[in-house]
Amino acid sequence: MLIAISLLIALLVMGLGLPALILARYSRPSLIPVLLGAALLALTLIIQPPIQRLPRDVITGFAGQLPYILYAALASGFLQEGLKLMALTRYRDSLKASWLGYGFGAGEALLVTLNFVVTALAGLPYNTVFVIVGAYERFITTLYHSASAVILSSSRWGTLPKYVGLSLIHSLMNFSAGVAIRYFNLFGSAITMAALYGALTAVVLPLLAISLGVMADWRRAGTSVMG
Amino acid sequence: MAESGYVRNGLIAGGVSGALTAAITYLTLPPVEAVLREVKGFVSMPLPEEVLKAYLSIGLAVSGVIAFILLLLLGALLGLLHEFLDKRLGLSVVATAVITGLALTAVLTLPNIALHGSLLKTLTNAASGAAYTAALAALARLANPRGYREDILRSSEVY
Repeated sequence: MLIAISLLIALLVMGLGLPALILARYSRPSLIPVLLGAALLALTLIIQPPIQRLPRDVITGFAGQLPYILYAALASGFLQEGLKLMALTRYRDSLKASWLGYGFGAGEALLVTLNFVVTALAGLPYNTVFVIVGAYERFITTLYHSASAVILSSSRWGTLPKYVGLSLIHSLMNFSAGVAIRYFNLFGSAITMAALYGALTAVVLPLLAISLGVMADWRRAGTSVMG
Repeated sequence: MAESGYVRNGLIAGGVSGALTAAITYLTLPPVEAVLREVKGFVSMPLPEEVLKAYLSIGLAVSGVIAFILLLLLGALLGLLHEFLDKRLGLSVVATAVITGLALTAVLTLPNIALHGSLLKTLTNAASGAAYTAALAALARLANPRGYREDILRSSEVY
């Protein structure tokens, strides 16, 4: 019981608390964008599964499992970044955009936490190491969603290149995870786990650094176009 | 306080639709044994039936609450779509509310139809969409979101 409660706290701290503390150092917390980000996640949960599942039999039948993993990764990357971009046509303020992205990632972290709570309450077996790794994954993912929202909100680099670039990065992250699970026994190999989460961290940290730069520029300019 | 009158109306309509969906979900909840039979084929781990049953029972117990929260969030999000359509289409605020509600109905029902989901689920989602549409249209008429900002400004001037 004590272990389960500790793991629950770890999931909440890593997926919600720590990213919020990091972001709060750079921009004032804002509830409405957080809720909007969570609402975007709710929309994603409804429309992403059919987009991913409908052509599954056709793709796996003609080309095999690997192209299907690639298709599913591209679908999720382009869809999620597209939804963020649409919401950001209203939220051009980079500081608020960071909280919109946080809301999206925190929503995912809450769902993972809820799943863990139900698993523990039902008495289903769980692996402590996997839950801790999962908590780290939520930490990195929440920071990614926040960083990508800030970069998408920025007036630099052009909308289409930013959208395509971030969607491809997002897809590549999902594709790596899919391949690691399907072909490299992710949950049974410490080397695969270290390689995957090391690579994800190496991708997210530079994006986070860029987004913090964008937020600093926005603060310096002091031109909040949003009420 | 809601960010705009459209978001406020969307949030309330989402709450109405979510409450209806939660009620239908709990009234038509399948017995846990039926769900167990359905999911057994997907579970690759050798798990004791009692444990799996406990997991599913908790999942079923919270399903209505989750549906309510999802529709509340979606309702507020669709409020932003209502604002966008109202400012672009040049139609009456009630007409754009109905278009917004139909968009939510399509989002809720089409994935279910495409994935050959159960008829009950599709009908429940259609009812959620219809409730949202009716509530949003009624709110657009009773509490016109177009005047919301002006109301706030006027009241702040008084104080």
